[in-house]
Amino acid sequence: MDVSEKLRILADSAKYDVACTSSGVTRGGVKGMLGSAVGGGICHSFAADGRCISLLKVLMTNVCVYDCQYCANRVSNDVERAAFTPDELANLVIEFYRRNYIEGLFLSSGVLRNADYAMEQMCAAIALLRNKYRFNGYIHAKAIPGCSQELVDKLGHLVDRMSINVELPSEASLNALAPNKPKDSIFKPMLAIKSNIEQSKAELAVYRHAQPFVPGGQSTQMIIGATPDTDFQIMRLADSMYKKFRLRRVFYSAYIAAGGSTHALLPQGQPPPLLREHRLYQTDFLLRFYGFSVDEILSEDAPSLDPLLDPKCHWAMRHLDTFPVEVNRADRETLLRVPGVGTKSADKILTARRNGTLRFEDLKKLRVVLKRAMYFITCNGQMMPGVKFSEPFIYNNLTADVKLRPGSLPIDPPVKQLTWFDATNLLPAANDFAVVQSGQI
Amino acid sequence: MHDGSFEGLLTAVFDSYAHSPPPVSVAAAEACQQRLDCQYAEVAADPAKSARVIAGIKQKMGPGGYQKVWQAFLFDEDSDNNRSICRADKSDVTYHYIRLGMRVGGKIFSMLTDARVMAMDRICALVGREAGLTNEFLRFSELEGGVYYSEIEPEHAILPMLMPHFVDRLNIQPFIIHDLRHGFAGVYDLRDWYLTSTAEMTLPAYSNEEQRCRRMWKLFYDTIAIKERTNPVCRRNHMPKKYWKHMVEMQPEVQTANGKLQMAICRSQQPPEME
Repeated sequence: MDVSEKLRILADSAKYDVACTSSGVTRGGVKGMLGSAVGGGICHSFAADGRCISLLKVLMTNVCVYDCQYCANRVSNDVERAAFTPDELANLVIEFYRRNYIEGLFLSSGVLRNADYAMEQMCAAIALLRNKYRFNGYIHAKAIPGCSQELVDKLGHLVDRMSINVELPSEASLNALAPNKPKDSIFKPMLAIKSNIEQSKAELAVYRHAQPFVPGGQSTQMIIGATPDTDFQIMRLADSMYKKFRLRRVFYSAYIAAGGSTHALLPQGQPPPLLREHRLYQTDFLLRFYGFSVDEILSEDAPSLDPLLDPKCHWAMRHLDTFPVEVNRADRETLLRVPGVGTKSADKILTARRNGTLRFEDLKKLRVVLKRAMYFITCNGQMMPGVKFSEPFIYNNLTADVKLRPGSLPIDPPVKQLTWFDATNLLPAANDFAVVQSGQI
Repeated sequence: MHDGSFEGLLTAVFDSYAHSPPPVSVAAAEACQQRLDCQYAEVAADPAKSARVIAGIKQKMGPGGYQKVWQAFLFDEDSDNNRSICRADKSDVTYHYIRLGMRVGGKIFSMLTDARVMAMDRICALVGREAGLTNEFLRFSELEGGVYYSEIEPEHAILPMLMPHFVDRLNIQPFIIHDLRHGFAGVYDLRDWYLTSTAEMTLPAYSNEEQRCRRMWKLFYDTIAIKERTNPVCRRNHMPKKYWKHMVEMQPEVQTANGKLQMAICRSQQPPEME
C-alpha cells in the first residue's frame, strides 16, 4: 500500500476528532531546526465543512481492538485498515510543513494490540520526528485510555498538547457504548497529565532549561447527541474537568452516524445536532471568559439550552432586573454580561471611555455590535432611541431573525405579531357607531 | 508633497513643524492632484530628519506608535480595499496621526473615537488582517535545487511583515516569496533576508517531488471534510476566495497529455514545466 493510500484511510478515520487547534505555545524558531509555534495558533486552510485545518490530523493506525459503538474504527465495523510507519509519517509532516500547508501534527491512534503498545508506536513516531528530523513545530498527541503512567510521561515531554477523549458525558453511557473504556481508564491518565504539567511548571520556575511537559496544556472531547445525556450534565462535567484537571479546552462534537452501528441507544438517520453543539460552545465560552457558572445557565429543572436564544441572551432575559447597564460606568464583569458584548468590545469600551462620555454614535465608531446589546444598555442614562425596555419587546426582537430564516427552528410557543386585523375585540362592535354618533366618546 | 518613500513622508512631517499654521495635508507627489487655491511645497527625503521623527514617535508614543506608522505605510492606495471600503490617503492619515500623537503622547491609544485615530486604525487593521491571512494561506513549492518558492497577490505591500515569521520558522530552507502585484520579492538565502525587485527573475522548474506532495495534500484536504457538515459559507468567511488562486488544495486536478492527473496551479513567471 503506498503512502497516499494510507494517508487517505488514516485521515478519513481521524476526521471525527474536532480538536485541531495549534494554540497555547509560543516558541520561536531554532537555528538548524524546522518550525516554530505561535501562541494564538495558525489555521492553514478551511475544509469544505468550514472547519479549520491547522494540523495534519491522522491516526497512526486505524486498527483497533476496542468496540466503541459510536466510532467508525471499532473492531466490528468493516472498513479499510492501514498503519503508517514512523518514517512515512515523519516525512509527510516535514514535506507539508516546508510548504506551509500545516502548523504541525495531530496524532491519534486506534488501539493496536493494547493501549500501551499503541502509545509506544505513537511515541516512536513522534520521537523520530523531533530527534532525527529536528522538527520544532506544534505536535498534539492523543493519550490512549488505559495506558500506563510511564508512557504518558514519555510522550508528554515530546509534544505540545496532549488530550484524552471522554467521548461520552456519563458513566452509564460509557458502559453501554464503550465497554472497553471504563471511566477510570480515562480520568487516571488525565490526572497524571495534570500533575505532570504542574510539576514541570515548578521545575521550569527553578531551572530555565528543564524540559517542559505538555506546555500547551491538555484538552478533551465529548460527543453530543449520541446518548440521552442533557446539556446540563454535559456542561457540569465540562466545568468540573476545567476545574479539576485544569483543561485548556473541552471540545464538543455533534454525533454523526458514520460507523453504521445499529446499537439501540444511538440515534439513527438523524442529521448531526449542529445547533446544539453551537449552543454548548457558547456556554463553554461563557464559563471560560465571561465569569458565568453552569448553575446560572442550566439547572436540573431546565436542563436544555434554548434553541432560539443564545445562552447569554437567555440568561439576560431571566435577569432583566440587572439591566439596563450604563456603558459609561459599568465595570468589566458587568459589561461582559451584556448580550452581544464580547471581551474585545468590553475592552474597547473601557479604553475609550477614559477620554470622555460615550454616546451610541461612539459605540458604533468603536464597532461595538449593537444588534443585541442595544436592548440592555444605556448611554448617559438614555436607552437607544426607539428601544423599549420591556420583556416582550426585547424577546420578540431578539428572536425575530431566527424565526424569519427559512427552514429554521419550529417556533414554540408561537409568538404572533400584533396586527389590527386579528384582534377581533378591537374591531368596532355594532353599538359603537351609535355611541360615537351620540357623542358619548 | 513628498517623493512617496517612507523617509520622504517622515521628512514632510518633520518640515511641517517649521510652518505656522501647519500644512493642511501631506501627500505623495505622484498621487497628488494639485488645486489652484492651495499652496504646495516639495519636500526632498532626508534620512537625518526622518530618523529624528522616528525617534520622536518612539519617545512620545512608544514603540507601538512607530509600529502603526510603519504598518500604515504598507497600505496600498490602489488596492480594492481602498476603492471599496476605506478611501484613505495614507500620507495624509499618517501625517495627522503623528501630529496628534506628538501632542498627546501615549493617550492616543485610548482615543478610539477620534476621526484621525480611527482612520489610522482602519488602515492598520486592513494591512494587518491581510498579512495574518497570507501567513496562513501562503503556499511554497519546491524548485529544482531545493529553493522553496511562493507566489502571492496581496492588496497591500505586506511582504516585510511576512518575512521575519518565515525566516524564523523555515530557517533551514532557502526560500522566495514573490509579490506579483507589487513586483518585488523577499529572498532568504539561509543567512539573511532581503527584498528585491523582480523585473528580471528566471526560476528553475519545480522539483520532482513537488507534484506528488501537492496531490497528497489535496487528497488530505478532500478527505478531512465531513460531508454531513458541509458548509461553504463558513469556509468562505474564514478563507476568502481571493486567496484560493494560489492555494494548492483549491485547484482542480487536470488531465495532462500523457494521461496523468496533475494539480493545476498557475505560475506567472513562466509556464509550468512539470512532469
